[in-house]
Amino acid sequence: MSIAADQQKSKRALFAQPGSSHDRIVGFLQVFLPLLVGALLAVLVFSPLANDREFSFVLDQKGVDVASERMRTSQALYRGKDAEGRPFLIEAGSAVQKSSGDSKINLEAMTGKAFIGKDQATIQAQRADYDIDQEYLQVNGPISLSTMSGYDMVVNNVTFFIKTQRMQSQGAVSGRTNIGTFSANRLNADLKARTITLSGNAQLRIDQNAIK
Amino acid sequence: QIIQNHNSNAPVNFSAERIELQDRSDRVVLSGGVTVTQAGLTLRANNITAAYSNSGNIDVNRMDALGGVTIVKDDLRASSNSAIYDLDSDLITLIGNVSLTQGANKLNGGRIVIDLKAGRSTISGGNSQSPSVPGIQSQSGRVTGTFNVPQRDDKK
Repeated sequence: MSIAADQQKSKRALFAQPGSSHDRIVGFLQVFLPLLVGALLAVLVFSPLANDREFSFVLDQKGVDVASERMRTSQALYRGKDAEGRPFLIEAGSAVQKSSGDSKINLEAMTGKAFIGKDQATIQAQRADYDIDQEYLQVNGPISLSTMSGYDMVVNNVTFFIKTQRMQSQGAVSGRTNIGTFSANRLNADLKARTITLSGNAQLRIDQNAIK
Repeated sequence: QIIQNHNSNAPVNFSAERIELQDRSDRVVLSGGVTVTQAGLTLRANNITAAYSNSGNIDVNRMDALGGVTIVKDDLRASSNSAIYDLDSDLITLIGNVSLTQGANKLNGGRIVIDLKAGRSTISGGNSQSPSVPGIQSQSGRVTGTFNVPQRDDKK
């Protein structure tokens, strides 16, 4: 056999001798490996007691992203009929219904068309709550109403009952009609009869600008 | 001159316990301690009805005041049971135990007409052509008046 082969054989024979590097490795591993397994077992056994972090997982309602409203629509459109059976229409830039039980829908950038007597009126309000069941518009802030025949008014913080074409203020009210500007503690308006009743510290200012 | 030419075209401010704007009948009905102010003239009464014309611009034509009427303008004080302020012709007609004081002058009578433009008050005891005011029967009142003529100061 060649010298190389002989050398190769003797190296392997050397490697197989007792006390060679191979024996040392095996001897070391014989001791180290069981130790490693024991350590691992110990860690696993004691890990739940030792660490303080809460591993348990509870679905926390506050943490989860709950949808705040039941229905959100943009370009909402509501139709209904007033007391005399004539149609009215409410459009809104965005409409949000808080919860299913709540019949109030918060409207943004609302415009509406309704009949006031025989006159057709356009209504506008930036923020209003529309009650689907009783069909009234509760407006926080100004609502403007103008009819074809030129009767126009802007009133703050009133509830507009579309069915009966009446308006009522929740509290202090201020506004303007084509007559002049007014303010009072309470307002009650029968739009069909075109009468506005202001009560409680009522003020009205008429700017006569007719040149005599 | 009792009242310098009052501008009955000036804006009118109303304040009352209750105001009813009746757009159909072009009038405003006020009740409950009504105060109307216009360019220095203050008219107070229990009830006032103001009629206006609405030709695009608003022009208050007439105010009927009823009950405890008082009128104050500069140094003029007048009070009566009822009054009619005709803005178009600038006349205030006071009816029903009218008393008017202007500085030291005092006038009492059944009916006094104050001409706001000319600043003159004409008094008439009778109910000759007093405009009929609903709810007030005009009675012929005696006319009394005291006038203080300013002393002519010779030195001047």
